[in-house]
Amino acid sequence: MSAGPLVKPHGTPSRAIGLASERVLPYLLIAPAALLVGMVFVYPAVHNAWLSLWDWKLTAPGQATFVGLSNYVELFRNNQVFRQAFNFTLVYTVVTLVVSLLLGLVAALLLHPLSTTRRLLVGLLLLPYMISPVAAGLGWGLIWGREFGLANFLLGAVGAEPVMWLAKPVPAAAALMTTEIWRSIPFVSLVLLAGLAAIPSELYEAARLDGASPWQEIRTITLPLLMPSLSLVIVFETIFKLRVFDLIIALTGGGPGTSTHSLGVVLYRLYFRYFEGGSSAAVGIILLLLGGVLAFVYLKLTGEARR
Amino acid sequence: MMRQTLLRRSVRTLTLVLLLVFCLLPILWLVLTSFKTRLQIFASPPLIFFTPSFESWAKMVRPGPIRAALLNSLATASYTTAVTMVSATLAAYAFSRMRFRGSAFLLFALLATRLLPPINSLVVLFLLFTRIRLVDTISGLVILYAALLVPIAVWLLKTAFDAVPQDIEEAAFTDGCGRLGALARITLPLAAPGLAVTAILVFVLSWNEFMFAYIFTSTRATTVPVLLAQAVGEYGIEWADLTAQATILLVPVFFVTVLAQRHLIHGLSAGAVK
Repeated sequence: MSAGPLVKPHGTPSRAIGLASERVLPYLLIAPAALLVGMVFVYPAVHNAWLSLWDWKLTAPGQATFVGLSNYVELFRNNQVFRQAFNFTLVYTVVTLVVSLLLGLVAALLLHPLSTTRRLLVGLLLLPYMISPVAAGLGWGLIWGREFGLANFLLGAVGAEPVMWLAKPVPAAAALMTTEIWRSIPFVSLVLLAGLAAIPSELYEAARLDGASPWQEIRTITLPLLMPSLSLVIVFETIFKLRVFDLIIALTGGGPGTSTHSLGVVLYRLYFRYFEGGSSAAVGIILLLLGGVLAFVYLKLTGEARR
Repeated sequence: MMRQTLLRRSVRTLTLVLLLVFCLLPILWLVLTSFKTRLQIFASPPLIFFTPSFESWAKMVRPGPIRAALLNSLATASYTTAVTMVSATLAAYAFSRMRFRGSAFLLFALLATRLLPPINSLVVLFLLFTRIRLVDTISGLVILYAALLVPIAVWLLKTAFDAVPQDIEEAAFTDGCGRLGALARITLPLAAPGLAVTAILVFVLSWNEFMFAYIFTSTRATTVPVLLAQAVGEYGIEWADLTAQATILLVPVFFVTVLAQRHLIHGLSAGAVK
């Protein structure tokens, strides 16, 4: 808001005429965006909740029987693949979230304050975030490869046995998570860098006068003041890691067996391989609720901590 | 004291170098592999220096699935950018400049749709798209992508419009430009950097998009990421061709990231885009 000597014109004729259309205009301007989002995200989400209460097949969507919540009960009670994927998705989200937060924080602390050279570095560090997840999956596929992979070559160089990374459940999960962490570091450190830049430098000067150690500075100034940025990153990253799909398809294909199936992969398989419309709708709703609940709990916790 | 700062400095530099290697190695290795022959790819120890082969690259010029997929990717990303930018500019202008009932709620609702997992839409949209014949078409993809990217674009553009002083616009307004005239002649040119970054991000994100393309295309509208993923699933991966195809997917992204780096960093950290 610049309050210059300029007198703002009021009640000019052109304005008076446009007054009626002025009231509708903003809604008209928003309409295309709202229509797109409504059609692709809001309506399907609502309709999906309804469809998840019916037993129906993709091959015959017309023939449906109302079953209430039994699709959900069935998934949790009897669907081994779903339960495994549910646990895998949670572990995947928590582990990759914690590690990428730590590494992203370290990166941000090392890069702050941004000088010209460091800015260039940030540009390069941005690449894992900007490139296609499928291409990233392929690049990492070259590293995890059994005979020719870089990872096994490095293991061999220090005298360790080669690992069949993508052929066994635990190494495959580790390979996936490493790739996910690699992909999240740029986003995490970027948001945290912006948060760091907003902390007034006087605080550090005062702390230094009081003889605080670097570690004390981080603990008493940096981390508390970084909380808003950290919360933002945690909520965003949690929600986005829960829906992992592309990386899994590109790197492990959900295997070996069904060991690296995420909830998204299970939904896809249930729908297109087994044509289970009702159950796949239920998986979608579970994924939606999981993200909502985790974000809510987290915001509630940090809200209370701040008070 | 001197020695301590020197030590701290070298630890800092070393950690940064390690981080950089970690971030760039998989990408560099992918690009390098695309210039290897099959024999060179399976060499042990892995080859860093070798006579480059351009065979896999030459294949992409000839007509075939990869060329078709490249054209599909290009068309989809371009149309998506156009549709997204027009609808997001209009909405962002309304949110930035006009006062109307429910504006705060509408903006919040638009941004909050980012919290809905896209795959949750799959069940309903696949039925709908089958009925209106949008499965396996570029138009279908463009609708999905525009919806996916409009909230981010509105947010980034609103920030850009907020930074343009309102006085200049009102002067044009009273000179008889009309609201939309003032938008086109004054606000848009002044917000050009913000518009450019938004368009670039929208293009890159739709160029990279995989999930919707994987689900909603099968043969005619297949994009490059889908083609790549299909090849991974097959027995006996042709790594040389595959890495060349993946590398071509990276080229525009490299280009854009280097060119618009500064603006991107600003836009990304301000908008918390994902």
